[in-house]
Amino acid sequence: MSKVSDELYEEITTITGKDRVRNDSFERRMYSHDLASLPKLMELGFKMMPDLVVKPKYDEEISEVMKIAASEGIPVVPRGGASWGLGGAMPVEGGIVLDLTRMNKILEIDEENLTASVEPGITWKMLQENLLRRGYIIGSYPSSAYAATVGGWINTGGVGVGSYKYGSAINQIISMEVVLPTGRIISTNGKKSSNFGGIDLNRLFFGAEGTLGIITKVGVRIYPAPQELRPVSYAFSDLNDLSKTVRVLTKTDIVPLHISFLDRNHFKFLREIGMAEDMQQLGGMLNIALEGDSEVIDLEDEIIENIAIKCKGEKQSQEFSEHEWKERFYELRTKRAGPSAVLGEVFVPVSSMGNMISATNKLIAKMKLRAAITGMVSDRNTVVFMPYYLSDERKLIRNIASLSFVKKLGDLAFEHGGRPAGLGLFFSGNIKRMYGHGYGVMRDLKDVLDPYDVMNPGKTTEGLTRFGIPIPSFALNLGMNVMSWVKHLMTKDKGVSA
Amino acid sequence: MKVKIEGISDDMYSCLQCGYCTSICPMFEQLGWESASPRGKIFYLKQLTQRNFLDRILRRQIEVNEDFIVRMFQCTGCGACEEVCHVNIKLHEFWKKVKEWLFEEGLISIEAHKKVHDRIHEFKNPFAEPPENRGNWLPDDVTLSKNPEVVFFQGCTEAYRKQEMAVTTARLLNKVNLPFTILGGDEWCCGSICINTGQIDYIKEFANHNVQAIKNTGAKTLVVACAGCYNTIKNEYLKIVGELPFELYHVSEFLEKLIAEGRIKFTKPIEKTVTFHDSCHLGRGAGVFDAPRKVIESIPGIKFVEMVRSRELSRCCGAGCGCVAAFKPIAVALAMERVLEAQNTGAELIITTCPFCNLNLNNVAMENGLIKTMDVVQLAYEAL
Repeated sequence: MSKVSDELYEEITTITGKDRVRNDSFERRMYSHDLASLPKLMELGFKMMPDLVVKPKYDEEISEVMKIAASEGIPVVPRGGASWGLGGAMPVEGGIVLDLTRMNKILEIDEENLTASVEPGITWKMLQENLLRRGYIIGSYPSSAYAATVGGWINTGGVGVGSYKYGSAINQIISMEVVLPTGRIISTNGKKSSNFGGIDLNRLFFGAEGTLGIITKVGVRIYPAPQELRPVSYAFSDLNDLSKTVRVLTKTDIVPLHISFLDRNHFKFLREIGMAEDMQQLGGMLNIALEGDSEVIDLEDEIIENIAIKCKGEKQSQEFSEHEWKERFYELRTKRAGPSAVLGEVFVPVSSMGNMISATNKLIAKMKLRAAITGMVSDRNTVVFMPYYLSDERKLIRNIASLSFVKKLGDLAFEHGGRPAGLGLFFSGNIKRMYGHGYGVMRDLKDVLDPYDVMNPGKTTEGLTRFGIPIPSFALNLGMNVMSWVKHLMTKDKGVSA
Repeated sequence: MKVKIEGISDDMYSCLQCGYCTSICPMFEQLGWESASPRGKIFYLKQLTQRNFLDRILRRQIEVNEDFIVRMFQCTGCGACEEVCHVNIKLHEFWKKVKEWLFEEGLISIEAHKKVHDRIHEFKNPFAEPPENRGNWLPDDVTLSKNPEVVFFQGCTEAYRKQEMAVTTARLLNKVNLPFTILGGDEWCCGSICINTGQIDYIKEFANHNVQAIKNTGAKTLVVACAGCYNTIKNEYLKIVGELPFELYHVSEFLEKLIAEGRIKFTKPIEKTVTFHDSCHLGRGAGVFDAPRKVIESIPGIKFVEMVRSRELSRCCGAGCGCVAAFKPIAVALAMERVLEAQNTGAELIITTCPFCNLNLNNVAMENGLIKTMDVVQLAYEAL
């Protein structure tokens, strides 16, 4: 049954006009998913299709919609580029999807104070390109920058390209305008300079996955475009040597723009789709991007070369490194070899990098998967692992059994002092394990800010199915363990070598 | 119950749903709904091909309905989606396969597209002009050769709507003493719009006819004025007739060749700032990016500036794939975007290589007092 009655539909169309509201099932179906390809059986547990899709243009419109939603108890799910895979932008009990991609303007570029004011629906790529034409850059951005929106990446607690030098999404934000679940519009800072002291409201909404409010405007930091950006790549025959290089590099004064790595299997899959040379001896590739004044880069390049060579790394040609840099937006290029792929994402401390690689490889072998390990070093302390496995969703049982890999990967991350990246719908069960008593505070904050429980319910701090029944974490664990066991009993996935 | 479309399954399942295509799709930009984006269309196609009893139990209402069909044809065929695709799907071919399937199932519901298809079959051109008048644009001062080296294929738009462009090319060929001819009524529509809207029933006949007519002249070279015809002959005719029995040039490539051989020497400087609009057919479609730029830059006095979106990532003018015929307001809005982008470069003229882009961009420019459009041949002729 629809949560949005005909009268409510009419009321909402008076806010935005008819042309920015859709209630037909054809269009609503399009907004029932994100990047993850889910079996339709999921719909037994979750009402993933919204009852209404609204495309607001102004914060006042969002505020009006929220007021109606709060008084009627209708869930509202904010949606940016929908390029995340944990169900954050997908309804679990119907309601209204607010598609924010029409709020995609750059409102101001302040070259004096090095800030820009933007709407949340602009993609990071579009923002970066516009800034570059004026001689500026944004610090860090997601590797999915073509599709990921400013608001979306902030809400997923984004780390990405450039995070090593400029930090995560939170470090790019000076101020935000947010519509609260009750419809109130607030500013988190309201100034063009940083805010020190008091409770940092920017932090409150960063990584909240759209459960505490809807970001409608963002003041971001901008930087003068560098004189040079120089990518360098090193091949290692052993991933342990690659990890060692990273550990030494994190202890130097050099702050590269970005550090990422890819294992041999990734290149093997690239070769399968005709996109890489034969690299038999390769264990892993380390890609480092240096940015700044050319003279400084020359020096950094030399120091890094010394470190890498001591760790048995082999410097690649400039052409190869440039190509790797361009491919930073195409992390799952190899999916075609599946044709399906499932991506996991976890954070671990830098000291655990080597052990985590070994443990992940053991898991891959045990589950007999065609998988590769990729990742990045997001700051001096943290490595982000993004292993993925290839499968074929047309083979249902094998595919479902393999899904437990992502859960198991999360367990490995916990064992190594880390945690899975993001909660969304699928990993909301992890929140207690991740934050202990801190979880209670998060729950209280959610209740205070969203008293009618309408703001992206069922995610992050909640984890609910369509009838409001919480997902019991022990059942989830049991299910995942059974699936992984089933996959272990099955034959090897095609293409897995002995 | 299940929908089965030949040859798209692997591509469809490869799709990551990352939305890179969405960010560059001109149709999505104008319409704004996920169903109008390449990503959304693939998502829905996947739902259709996966239909089973569960859909009924869950009341999922996944069907080939009017909304779906319209969305499938709301596409200018620009191919920008393919350029940014995360997983290298040959999306241009992909969309054609889906449209062909819709055509075979009798599910084309866009009246304008049907009309164009029927007109081309009857009149050999989409404008329903008398086929025997196709060569009427030829002025008295142009001489055709009885032993031509070159056949000039001017295409429907230049034959009936932009005759001044065809005239310029003909005069230019005379001026450089290149013996050439035209096919007149024997030149039939290349069939591009039918191919791009999935209506491929008589395409083989048309391709064979045109290739034979060219062959009959004894000429060894074909020079094509229209980017759409050129792309069709280069890529689609190749699939139908095999290797072409002549050397194929787009007129911009031919100009480049004549300049390189010293047969064309520009004597009159043109003191203007110009920009260049890559036609989707010539650029992303046929891979010709440099030839027109080289021609422009070899003209003395010209200052050449690129638009923000150029070459592989060029922005569609909005005219292609029957968009002008079926969805005029969208075609106009897209042309407006492109003309404004050109205007922002500070250029005084937009140089084009496709009469259809030229027509669509110029209509918008004239109505709104914005910068005008000129074909690369016209520009070159002015400098001779």
